[in-house]
Amino acid sequence: MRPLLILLLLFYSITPAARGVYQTPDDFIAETFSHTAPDNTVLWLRGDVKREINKILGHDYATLRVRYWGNGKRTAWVLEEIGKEKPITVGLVINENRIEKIRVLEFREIRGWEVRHAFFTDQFTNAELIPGHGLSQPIDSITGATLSVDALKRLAELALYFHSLTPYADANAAT
Amino acid sequence: MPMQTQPPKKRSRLFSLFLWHRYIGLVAAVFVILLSITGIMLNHTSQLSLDHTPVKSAWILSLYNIEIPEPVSFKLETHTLSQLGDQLFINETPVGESASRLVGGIDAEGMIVAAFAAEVRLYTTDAELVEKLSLKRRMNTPLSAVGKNADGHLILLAGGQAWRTDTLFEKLIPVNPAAATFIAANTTLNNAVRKQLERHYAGHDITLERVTLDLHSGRLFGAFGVVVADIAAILLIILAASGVWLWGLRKLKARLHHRHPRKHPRHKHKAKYPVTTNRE
Repeated sequence: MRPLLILLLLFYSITPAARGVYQTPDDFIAETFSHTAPDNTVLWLRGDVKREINKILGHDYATLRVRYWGNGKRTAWVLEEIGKEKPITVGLVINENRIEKIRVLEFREIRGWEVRHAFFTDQFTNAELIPGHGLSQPIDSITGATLSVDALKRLAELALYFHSLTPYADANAAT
Repeated sequence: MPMQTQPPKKRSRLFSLFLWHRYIGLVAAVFVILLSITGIMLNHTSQLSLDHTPVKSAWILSLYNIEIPEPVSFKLETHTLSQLGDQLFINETPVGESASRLVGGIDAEGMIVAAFAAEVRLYTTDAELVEKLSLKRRMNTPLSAVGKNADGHLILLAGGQAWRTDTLFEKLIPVNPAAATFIAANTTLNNAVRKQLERHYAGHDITLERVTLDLHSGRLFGAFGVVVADIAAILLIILAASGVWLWGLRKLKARLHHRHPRKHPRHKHKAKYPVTTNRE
């Protein structure tokens, strides 16, 4: 009986914490550029860019422009994509045309929240964009979180593509 | 000799069961059809887009007793920016949700700036979202208004301090708030517009999927509907049980008749009406 009660307590203590704000975008940017103040500008999503976004996401991006922060060969992005029904807010850092870091900043759904854990997001480290707009390394999915996993994969590709359009993209980065 | 009337023969239990089965079936038929139709709809929610289709019928929405909050609106040069609950509208077009309160709106550089306590949003004049931007870290206090100075520059007001910026929001320059004009909130909306916003607000969270689920369970009609749905379920169980029982008895009778035809005739003929005999 006691193990069952403990399990129930654990279940009810874990479940409510699954959906929530884990880090604000401001804090994410501050943490990413802790030593140097980044430049902050916008990338307009028009014309060919819009078409490429549609190829990656399967639909238009939610806004007409995205803001990014850059310094040296690094850019940081805060992007959103819908998992099942609600958007997932994700912070991404691109360095020398590769993913340096992915962090789920806010998760709004009941299921699929496992994607916020490092055991999943660490798979994206050093991934780059290959011709045809796929990631250069496979990302293992999570049972029961397929839609959230797919959303993060699309955002990773999108951030790499956006980075390639900025002055911070490394034209000489080793592949 | 007086006529003797034979007492009517008792109806067999089997026949009684059959009659009950028939009448329950007739009553339950309505529920079977309703549950089947709603069940099929729920099985194909995505294909039918039931979860993305808001309900617009005033009658159905009235069943949910949704409380409509007071709107907050700002009259801009050619548009009206309104918030009803957490829903934002440009004129009558819904343009998104915000849990934060709408504190101001203004036209700037050909765009519409909607200011909330914790963020600003930029829209085109066609109500397309340009960007959502949090200024919390840069301003430290919640936004309280947005306006323009005499030169047409965008002015943000927060905690008594004003900042001049543009629609790129790259720089925030402290300025004197007295030099800016801020549009005050206007809670009086045109009746027709208000009705439209209220209808959209009420229907936003109530989708066809929700209504179908509530119809399937009976909850659409409150506690009474739930009781009726429970009774229908019990009737269906009785129907299934009586049907199996009748089928089983028929099978048994047929088997017994096959083995002992005289002892178990297939049909026992019973008098439908009292039998009257004259004895002399």
